[in-house]
Amino acid sequence: MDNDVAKYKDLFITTAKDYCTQIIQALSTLSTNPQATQAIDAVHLSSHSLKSQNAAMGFSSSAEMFMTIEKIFAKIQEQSAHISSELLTEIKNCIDDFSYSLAQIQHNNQEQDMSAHTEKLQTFNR
Amino acid sequence: MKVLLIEDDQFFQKFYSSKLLEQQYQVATASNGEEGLTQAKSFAPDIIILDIIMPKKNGFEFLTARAADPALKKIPVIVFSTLGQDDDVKKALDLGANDFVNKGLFDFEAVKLKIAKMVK
Repeated sequence: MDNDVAKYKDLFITTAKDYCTQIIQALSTLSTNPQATQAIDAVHLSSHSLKSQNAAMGFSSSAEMFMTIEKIFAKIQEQSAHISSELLTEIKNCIDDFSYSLAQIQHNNQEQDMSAHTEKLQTFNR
Repeated sequence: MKVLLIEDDQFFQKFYSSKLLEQQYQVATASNGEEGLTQAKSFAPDIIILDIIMPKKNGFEFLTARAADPALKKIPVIVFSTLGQDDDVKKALDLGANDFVNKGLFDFEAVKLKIAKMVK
């Protein structure tokens, strides 16, 4: 991890956790109101930010996963895709595993592999 | 030189604003496009660094408002891009942005060069 990236690790972890919290809160709203625009926008924006941050820090597996979530929610915003309980469950699983990955990153800079989640998410992105 | 950084992501806002301050730029920040328009008018920057995906007026909406304002139109804009945003960058350039930089590369030297190129 190069100098600038290492220096900003704590900031990355703090802001990433905040965005994860925002996604979880939005998922909770969407589970009872799948049309809730603010919650849809929150997931889109937060996943966009998590994609960018992870890419910047060199955590490409996580960046790909969040890019997929961002794309799905861009389609939902355009109303060319819809929320399903399966999608919400999968995103919750993504956040759970990403949170574990953050803890590993904090300890030893080791990102966990998120590719299985990205593959599963792709089934919602057709 | 005065730089207005319009970026909602606290991680990138803090990274780039501290780098700019280290290099003796005067820096103002805004966390969304609406705040960015207010700051652009009051702070009167020499250059604007603009994120695209933001709440409360995104980068496209900011650029559209800037194009309609004779004073703001004169201020050069560098857009921040990230992974998977090639189409967004093209749209931003079509809306009047002057250049772009990939914020995820943490390449502050590239940002400095682009600022120097824009503001002679």
